[in-house]
Amino acid sequence: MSRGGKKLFYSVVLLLWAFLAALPFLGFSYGVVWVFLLAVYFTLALSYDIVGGYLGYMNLGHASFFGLGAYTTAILLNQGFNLFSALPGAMLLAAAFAAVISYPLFRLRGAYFALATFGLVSLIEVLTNNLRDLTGGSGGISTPPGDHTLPSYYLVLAVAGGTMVLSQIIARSKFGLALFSIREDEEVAKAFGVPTTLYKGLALIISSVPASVVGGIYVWHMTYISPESVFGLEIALSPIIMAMLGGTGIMIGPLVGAVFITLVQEFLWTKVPYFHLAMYGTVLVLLGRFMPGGLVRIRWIRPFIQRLDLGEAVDYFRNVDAERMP
Amino acid sequence: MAVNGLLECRKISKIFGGIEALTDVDLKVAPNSITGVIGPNGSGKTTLFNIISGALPPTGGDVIFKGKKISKMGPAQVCRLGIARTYQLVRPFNSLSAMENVLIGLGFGRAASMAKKDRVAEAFRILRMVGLEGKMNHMAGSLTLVEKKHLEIARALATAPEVLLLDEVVSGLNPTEVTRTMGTIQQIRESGITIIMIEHILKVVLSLCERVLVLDHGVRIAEAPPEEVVRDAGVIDAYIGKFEDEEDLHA
Repeated sequence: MSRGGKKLFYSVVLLLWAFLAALPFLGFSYGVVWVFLLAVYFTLALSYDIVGGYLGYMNLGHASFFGLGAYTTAILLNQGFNLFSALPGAMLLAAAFAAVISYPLFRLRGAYFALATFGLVSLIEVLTNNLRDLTGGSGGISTPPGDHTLPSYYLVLAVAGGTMVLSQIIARSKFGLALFSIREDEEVAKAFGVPTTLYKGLALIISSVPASVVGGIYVWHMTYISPESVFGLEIALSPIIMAMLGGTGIMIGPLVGAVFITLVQEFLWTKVPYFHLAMYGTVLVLLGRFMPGGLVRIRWIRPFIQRLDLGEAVDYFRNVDAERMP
Repeated sequence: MAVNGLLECRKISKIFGGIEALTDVDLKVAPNSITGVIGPNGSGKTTLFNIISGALPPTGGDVIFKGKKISKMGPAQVCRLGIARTYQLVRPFNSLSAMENVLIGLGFGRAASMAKKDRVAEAFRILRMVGLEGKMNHMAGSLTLVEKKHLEIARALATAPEVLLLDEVVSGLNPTEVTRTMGTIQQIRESGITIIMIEHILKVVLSLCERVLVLDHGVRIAEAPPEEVVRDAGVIDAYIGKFEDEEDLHA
């Protein structure tokens, strides 16, 4: 099909990335901070989508990976490790945590899974508040000071790009196809030999990695975090709303959602403080009722997305060329 | 039967709460044969399929496949050993394309080691066998009921099974579609696959099957070649008599 469309899409993405990379030198210092946060949220939304969109399990506890990554990195930095040994540590801990929780949690489905994972974030928040010696309690934790705006900006851009590549690789792989089949009908998938328990666990572990890494970069950039700032409702819900508003199960969805929400938020919290928090809930309810497919699946937007050859979750096998078949 | 069966059910029973869905059902299936399973609604036909395919554990009895006891295995393991099934109420992966549905069967059944490129070609071959090659890029959810039923067969075939369990794949189709589907089933058997089929349309059972198992309230009341089954007084009483009444009704 539209090989040209795919080329166009990738060149637009590359151009965008080149522009973002040049941003600090163009004198938009506020823009740099804004794009940094956007990229953090986008990475969270996209990595959430591996479980939420591809696998079809609404993981409201995705922020726990982010918070764990941030706290682990902060603690390791304070112990004298540098960032590049602290980040893998954060990654490993979050992945191990994902592996451990995947067993009990994936015995639940639908709303029960969503509720249980949501409880997880609060649980860890309570833990960080009370394990004072380790985490500094409700007072938060500071890392060695320094201006890391630029390096953290480039790091987070790289991680966001890497997550996009990861998400595409999964969508085109046999593993990804298996995740979609579990989303459609888990029982049938199992009957056809898909190792559902293993794959659900793997999907959760894979989605935890980018989240924990951006958590680490976030704390390095901010040099201070509190339990509220990394486990709060804001960070727990907004990436999920972004993914759902944009469209789940397709890479471009979280991108559209993240840009859209960050723009609206930017406008709202300068004009009407705190209103954005009320808006999240409203948007979530309205989305489920009127637009379950998200922005990218609206009828008049869809053709554009399809022209980019990213129309559905996987287009790789969908566009098999009959002419080339034996 | 002289030859040891490829698949054998020994005294299978299944109890759901207080209801005995199957009582000591025996069945021997010879390699490369077509066996029909008939019986009134609620007689335990689909339950038998669920037990053979590993979706449900039997309360008592064993399922033996190629000399191996499979009644303790899960559905994935049974599928990898070579038993595939279709569902009476079709259950394709709706938001995936027909091609992708078949690729799931290919990628995780017995053919799992196949290279990616060969998998697509093989999936295409299977889709052509059931007449869906023109719709391979369509979403399964957008297909008609007949097409969905054929897709179920294709997905099951993709797992490279030795035994294929067909749960009412002909029911609900119009006469032309019935004839075509019967041709497909014949073709599958000729490729060396053993078939067990649940079917309500007696014409199909009589012309395709070598042996027929008749269930009534979970009890095996006959297992014989179709010509004998239709003359069996018990079977006529339990099933066929009722069937002809129904036909009269529709006429």
